[in-house]
Amino acid sequence: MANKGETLLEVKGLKTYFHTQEGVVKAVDGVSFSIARGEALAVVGESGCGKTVTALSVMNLIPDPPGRIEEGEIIFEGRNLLEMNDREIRQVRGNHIGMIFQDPMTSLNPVFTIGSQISEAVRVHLGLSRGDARQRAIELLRMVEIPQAERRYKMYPHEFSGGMRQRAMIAMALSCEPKLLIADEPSTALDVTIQAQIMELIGRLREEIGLAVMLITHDLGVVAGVAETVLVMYAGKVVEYADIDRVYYNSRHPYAWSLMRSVPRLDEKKDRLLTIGGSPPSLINLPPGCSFSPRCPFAEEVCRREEPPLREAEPGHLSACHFAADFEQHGQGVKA
Amino acid sequence: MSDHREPEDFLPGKEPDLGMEVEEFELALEKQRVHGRTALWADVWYRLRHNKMAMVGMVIIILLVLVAIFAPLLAPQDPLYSPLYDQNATPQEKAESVKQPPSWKHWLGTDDLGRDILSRLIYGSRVSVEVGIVAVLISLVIGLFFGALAGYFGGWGDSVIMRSADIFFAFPTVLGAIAIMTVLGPGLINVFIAIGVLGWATIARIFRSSILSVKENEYVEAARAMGASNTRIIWKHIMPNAIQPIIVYATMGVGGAILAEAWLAFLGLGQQLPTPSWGNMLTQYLPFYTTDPWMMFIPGVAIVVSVLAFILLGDGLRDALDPRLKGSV
Repeated sequence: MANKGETLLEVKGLKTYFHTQEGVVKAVDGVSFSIARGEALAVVGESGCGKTVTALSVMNLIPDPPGRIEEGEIIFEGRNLLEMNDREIRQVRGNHIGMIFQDPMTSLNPVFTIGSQISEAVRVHLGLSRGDARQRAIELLRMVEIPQAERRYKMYPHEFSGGMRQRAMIAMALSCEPKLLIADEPSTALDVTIQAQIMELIGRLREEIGLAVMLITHDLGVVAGVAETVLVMYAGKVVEYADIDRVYYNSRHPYAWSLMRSVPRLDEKKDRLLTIGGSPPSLINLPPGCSFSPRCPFAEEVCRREEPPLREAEPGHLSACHFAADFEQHGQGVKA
Repeated sequence: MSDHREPEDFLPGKEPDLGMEVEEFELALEKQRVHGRTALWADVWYRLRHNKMAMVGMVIIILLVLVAIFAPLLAPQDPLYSPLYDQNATPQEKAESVKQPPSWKHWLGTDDLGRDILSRLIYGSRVSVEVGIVAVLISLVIGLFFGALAGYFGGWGDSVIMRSADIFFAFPTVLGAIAIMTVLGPGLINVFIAIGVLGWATIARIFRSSILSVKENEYVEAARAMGASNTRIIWKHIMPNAIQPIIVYATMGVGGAILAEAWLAFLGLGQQLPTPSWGNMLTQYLPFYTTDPWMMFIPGVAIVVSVLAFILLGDGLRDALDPRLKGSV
């Protein structure tokens, strides 16, 4: 793991369960990770593996009921967010941690102008006057590269394109100079060129204002350009956690390994993309042993019996696979 | 050429001016902003303006409100003045003053006590307008508060509030109002309370369901992620997006309240004589329906027309606020 700077956010043994009529959904089951100042962590995995719930848990935004954070600690700048009262956590949200969402089409309130929504955030948190807040909002719109910021300030969300709305969302999330930006699939709802622009913008802002980013995505192509560290999740658990190069080129978990191979690449000619058979298991009824074993091309008897712990496969490279240490050799026979 | 257009440009009946120069368009946009019309309400107003029936309703309502406000200036005579009790009136004057058919002196004639019906009608509009507005406001305050509570927070509070609303629904409104009036006693203030209190359940129910759908929007989640408090989220982010059906219902509700006042007064529970209200005028003139039926028709028509006006406007507002309902976007 990258331990370059001082730790900004540390999540320890987070368990977020949803109590539904069908049973307890263990959406996040014992997830731990940390983000240093200025670091970018990518959380990847298929839909429904707990990425978003992890992010919402950090913000303490889990809808309760039915959701509940059962266990764990979320330490942000030395303070446990889970022990804060409502007022304190509201100060953290927006002020210290900003968040942007998947669908920019619906994340802005349709009845207020873009400008008033951004300046509202500034006024609430920083206590600026109306005029100062306006100035600040226009600056922010410029910062996220929205042309003619003064004019756009007065426009309504329906007058913005998808890419511009996402930029406006980023401007709003960054309005109070948070130290951490949680981006929940920020580019999924956008088309590819706009995706690239948004990711580029996030990358640029990181450098300019030293922002730490927690990027949630299922698009591994997006991850490569931005993040330094990757957290791969499967069925509510961390299965691999390492530097991006290690996960990309030297994966120690069959799930992450398969994911990497199911990304289409420009420089390789393939007739068919590799796919991962089956679908993620129901979080109410997890299979015994390793949750990935029913879909794993390398699974052996031990995988169906025992759950592999998350441990170091090599220094700074965590993997939850029985064969993590000699994954290369183990997979050799199957790969060929 | 600008690729940016206002929704108005796409409405039927308006040719999109594709040749419009950017500057020209900017100017038009600026004009619109200067006049303080925000895009949403400009759009609603545009659609409302082109709905003839709604505009008829609106004109009647504006006239009604003006008449109520300026009643003392408009009424040709004191509505309580009766020649029968005037010591200066001669016996012949007294005898000729009662139940006069419409004439130039008394446009709508006089009643059984020789009072000018037009003046009574004009003053009576005050009661109707007051009841309409105050009763609906009372319903709104109670209904919106509990509706928001139920819809936003859910849980057991929701159950308690909605079951209480069900209890209110179980009462026939007439019976409920009579019951409340019996406890509180007759009088205008109590009419406000009775009608207002009975109306909260529908508003709470409509607002709750509206909130239930609005609160799932991502901008609510986004606001929460920005650290907004519950009160702020409800007021700034949910309310403006959930209020549209309430605007429609409240508009029609004013008509309903006017009608309710009329039958409460008809039962002798509303505004007490001699102060005129349309309801008690109806009661007062009822005994003469065989001999002088026109007397009874005057307040009756006034009630029907004003209730109809509110319904027409409400109907128009519904179409204007949600054009998709008509399936004619």
